[in-house]
Amino acid sequence: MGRVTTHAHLEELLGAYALDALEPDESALLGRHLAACPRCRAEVAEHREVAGLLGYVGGEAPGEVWERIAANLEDAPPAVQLDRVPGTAPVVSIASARRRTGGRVVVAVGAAVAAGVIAILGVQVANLDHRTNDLLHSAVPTMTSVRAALAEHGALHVALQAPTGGPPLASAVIEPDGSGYLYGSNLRALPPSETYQLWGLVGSQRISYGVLGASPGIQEFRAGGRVDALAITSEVASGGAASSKAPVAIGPLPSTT
Amino acid sequence: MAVTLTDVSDAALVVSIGRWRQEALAEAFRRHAGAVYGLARRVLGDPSRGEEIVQEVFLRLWNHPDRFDPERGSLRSFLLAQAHGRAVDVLRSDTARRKREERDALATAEAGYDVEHEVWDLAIADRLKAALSVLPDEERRAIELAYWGGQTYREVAVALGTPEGTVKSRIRAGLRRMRGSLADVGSGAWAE
Repeated sequence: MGRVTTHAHLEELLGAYALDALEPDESALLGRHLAACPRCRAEVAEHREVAGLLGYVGGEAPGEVWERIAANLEDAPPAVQLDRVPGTAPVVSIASARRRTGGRVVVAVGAAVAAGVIAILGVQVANLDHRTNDLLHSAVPTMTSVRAALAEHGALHVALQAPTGGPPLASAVIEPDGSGYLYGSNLRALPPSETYQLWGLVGSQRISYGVLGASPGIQEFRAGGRVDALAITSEVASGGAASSKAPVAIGPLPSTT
Repeated sequence: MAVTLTDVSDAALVVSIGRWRQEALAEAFRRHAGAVYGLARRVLGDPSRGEEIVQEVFLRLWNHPDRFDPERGSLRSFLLAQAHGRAVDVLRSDTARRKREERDALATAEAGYDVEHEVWDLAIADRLKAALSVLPDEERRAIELAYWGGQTYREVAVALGTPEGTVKSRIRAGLRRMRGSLADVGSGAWAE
């Protein structure tokens, strides 16, 4: 069979192309043509819509598949950086999120540790460090800094979840020198009168690592000394030096071994 | 007022995925992973490899959300096209392929597509049934062998004892015919 070269011949291949039914050489040939021919591209798109209907057998994918995907996301960040656009973060209820994601593993911690942290958070906190400041907003760190921190030897990776479990609501990384970054926030946007606040938990104490705003993006913080876990609360925007509110997200630190 | 993720369009979800919102990917998964899995499992005849395809397709969406162009079709068709392409690649590189072909290909052609049994969404099943019913048998068979059997049109030609050029034309004509009877596909059918 000779090589097809005329437009009419190429057009004849469009249906088979949309069904992945061309031989590799023809597929490559048509692929090059499509790059330059909007009309043929449109026809392929139409065929694919029809094929999509044909291929729709419904049903559910096994829940473990999502867990495997979620476990790979931090290793494969998208090319586009996380935007920080106040008020635009989508909202999703924890319950429905958990139902469809099937839960996620907290990095390198056992359930017992998490349970202990939840117990700690139930205790009224009295003796707090009063560093509730806006220092963290003075410079906007980028994913480049986060990636560098993630690659650092000995850096601690923290996944923050709702206290009752579920998908990650934010991630953090703490370098050996105490520099930390909060990133990958899935926290719902708060009304302007409220703000998220990041805390370090040491024993029964909460130490403020700074306010995060109503729709957290990437935030830098400094974790001094030993920290057992990170927690995020929602507070009134005027800021609280102390808080007894239940956290919306917590993430125990992995033990340094 | 804040908008819940379950209410946003697929196109808006993909924008959020581009902003590294894992919840947006989770929602896209909730909406479409079942369809992707069903297709991949059926083409490959193997649930665990179907799962691998689902994983691959959604990680690709996470890494390259810009490759989805809402102007050119629905997210579901886009994901299914990716899944089909990958499944066919796997099938064609599969050393066990010939065995599977012998076992399944003609069975698929003979049994046709059991719409009532396979498609759980009745609205979609009805539309698909109507669309398939407008196809002459020979077009339907060519499309099914290519799509579900993962065969090239040349292989379909051999299987059906029909000239290659005829098979090529039948596939295209059949898809166009179905398109005609599904004039509003892509808007209503895939809406959540």
